[in-house]
Amino acid sequence: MQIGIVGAGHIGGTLATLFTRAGHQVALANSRDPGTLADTVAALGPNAHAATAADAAAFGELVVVAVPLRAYPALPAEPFAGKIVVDANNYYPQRDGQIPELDSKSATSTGLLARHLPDARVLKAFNTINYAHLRDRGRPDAPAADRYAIPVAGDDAPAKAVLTGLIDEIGFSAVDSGTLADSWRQEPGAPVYGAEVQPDQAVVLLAQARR
Amino acid sequence: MSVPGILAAVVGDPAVAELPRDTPLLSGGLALDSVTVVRLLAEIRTATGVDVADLDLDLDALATIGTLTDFVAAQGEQRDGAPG
Repeated sequence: MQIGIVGAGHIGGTLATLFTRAGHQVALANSRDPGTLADTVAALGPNAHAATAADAAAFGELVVVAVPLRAYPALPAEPFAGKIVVDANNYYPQRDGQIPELDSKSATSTGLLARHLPDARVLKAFNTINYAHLRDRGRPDAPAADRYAIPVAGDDAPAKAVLTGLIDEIGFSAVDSGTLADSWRQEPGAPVYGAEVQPDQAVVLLAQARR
Repeated sequence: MSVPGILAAVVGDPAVAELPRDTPLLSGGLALDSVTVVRLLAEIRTATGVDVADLDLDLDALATIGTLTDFVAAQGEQRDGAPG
């Protein structure tokens, strides 16, 4: 599959490693000139290339957005149209500044991205896991029930199925956490956030979340 | 309504009410997803006043149909028997 990754930090870089290793083609972007990623993509091997954010979005059938929340308004919406967009974001007020809609819990952080990318098929995933655990703890050979869970929220069931397959390839188990409107159940502070648990326990923690 | 009855209504399958008590609610059994569990616990709270998610931090109650039925029954008795 052709995958775009916008954001070359801990989560973006780790996913680039895992997806290229699984045989997918990855276009990796940061907020600067693609030339600044030359060493990174060289280390990733022939399945990866550096791109602008717009080109990475255009390249991917599925596009991961792993930039700080405060940076999403700068993303161009047009190349994301029709794409499966996986938002790995979290709202950290100390980093992102206060966002009243999120402080009042009248929106979710991924809901804001979906509003910015109105024609994209937006999901939320990879926001609850430590990047080092994502890098090291995938177990593609283990039964699904024994792997660590990755919650996936979103309104588009076929898009969720595609992402669930990718998550399976890198050795984790996707757990359906509901719609984008429900995605607060996996935001920072919720029981499943940062929890390293198997799928059944993730279902329980998601059900236990209170807003 | 009984817990098995509520469960059957939430999943939309009357036959679920007749399943054995040791049927797992999650993997290896009914494989309920988190959205369904949320709805199930909300329906139980409405019907019985017992807030399972709030009372059971480990949610061992969600192991099987039987553990959930027993947990709700025990909590209901405790509350009904409490003074005031």
